[in-house]
Amino acid sequence: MIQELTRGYVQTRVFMDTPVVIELAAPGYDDAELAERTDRAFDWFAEVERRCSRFDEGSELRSLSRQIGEPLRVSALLFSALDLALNVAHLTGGALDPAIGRAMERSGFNTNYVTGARVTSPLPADSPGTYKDILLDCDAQTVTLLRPLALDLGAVAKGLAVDLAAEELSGLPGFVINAGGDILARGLNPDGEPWRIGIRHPRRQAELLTSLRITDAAVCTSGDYERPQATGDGHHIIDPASGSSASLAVSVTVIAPTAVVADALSTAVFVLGPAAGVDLLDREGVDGLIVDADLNIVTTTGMERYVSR
Amino acid sequence: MKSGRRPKKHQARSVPTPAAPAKKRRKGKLSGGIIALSSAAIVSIYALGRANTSAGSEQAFVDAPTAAAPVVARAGGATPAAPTTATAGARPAPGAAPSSTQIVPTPAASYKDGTYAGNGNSRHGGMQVTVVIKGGKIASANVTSCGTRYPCSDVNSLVRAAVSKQVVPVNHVSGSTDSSQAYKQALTNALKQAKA
Repeated sequence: MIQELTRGYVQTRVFMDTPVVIELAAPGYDDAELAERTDRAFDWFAEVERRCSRFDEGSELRSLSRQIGEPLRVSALLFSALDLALNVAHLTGGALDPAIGRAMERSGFNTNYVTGARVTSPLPADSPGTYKDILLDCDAQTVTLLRPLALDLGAVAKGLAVDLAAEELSGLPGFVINAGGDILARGLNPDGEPWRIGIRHPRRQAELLTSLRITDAAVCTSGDYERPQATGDGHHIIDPASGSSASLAVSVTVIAPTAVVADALSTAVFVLGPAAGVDLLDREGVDGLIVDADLNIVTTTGMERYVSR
Repeated sequence: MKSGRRPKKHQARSVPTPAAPAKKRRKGKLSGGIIALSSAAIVSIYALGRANTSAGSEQAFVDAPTAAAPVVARAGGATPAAPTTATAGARPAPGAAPSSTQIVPTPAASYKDGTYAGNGNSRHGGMQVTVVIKGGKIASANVTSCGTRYPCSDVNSLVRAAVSKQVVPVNHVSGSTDSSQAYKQALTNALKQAKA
């Protein structure tokens, strides 16, 4: 028995090298209006990508990366993305580091998915900068890089795009924005219930770890299973401390009020591992589920209330 | 005061880094500072809107905010403005070499007007992309069906899982970010047919 579960108004487009699905549960609404709002929501993905992409020479982020030692005034969007990433960097002692771009490039995550072009940041070999080399001035909305850095907002950009897209859809009875597994769900699903969100099993492709009931929250998962490195057996989540793939966890799911927080914290917790990771989630007042390298599951105490019965 | 390092350190501190507010908020209660910060950022960015975009380098993206946006710029024969314009005002780092963004040749020739469908596959299954060409340029390139892929792939595999394991069916699945491999393949195949 095959049951079609996405029965709302559904559109899929590709941004940031991943399929983005928007499903609206808005019975009685005019399709033309839904189409227009969906278009506007997708536009935010284009906007965030344009400003925050590490893979596009023309992005605002790349322009910023070329300005060393002097404050550069940036857009509110880029400023906030960096601000959020730096906050998480400081909270976690650098488990998430927006200066990780160089290590990402070296691990083979250096190809623009649209053009196929390779990106190589022109950094001196002896200049391993970190988030501490990025200074923000909130009043002037400027960013100062103390040394050449390859900035990477991979842990926050997609979440931020999801949150901004959601603003375009607010007021609808229910919707889900699913950016390649980073999900924000508001209101109710087409059955008039909280959205049912599965968490993919990190080792068995056709299976779920569990399924959650979600309304008005974001669910983001960082895993080691979808984007392997071209060489070796590493993956795309690099531990800034070692420069190689983080290995204490294989999957981390975070539930938070905003997608950008769920996105950033799932990456940070992936690097921190289960023990320090749960502590961080507790301190920040969000819930999460961590699968460690032996496939043991560790959760925050509040996770229970989301699990479907 | 005399030490050479001190002014630098001092300068660094005088800039309001995000560390300070984060710490302050953290002392509070369960709702972490980072959540409040993100909510405020979303509201203010949204209020400013997307319109504050005027640089020529950004035009391509503004014109076609669909998945195929970057392709539009190139396929349409538009100048690859992004690298040149953006670098103009910026100061490259010492020893900076402009990295190449044009390794993959993109067709300057225009396409035949019409609607073309192409298929692509990834390890999750297949997807169909329908490309609409207007005036020789890609007007849209949207996913029109997904054999076993997003969202259907999840649904199908989940339903299988649900049936075999008595798990509740779900609306969407959260997982590690998958790539757009199937989309790229489908797009390429559709564009092959549109070649003039």
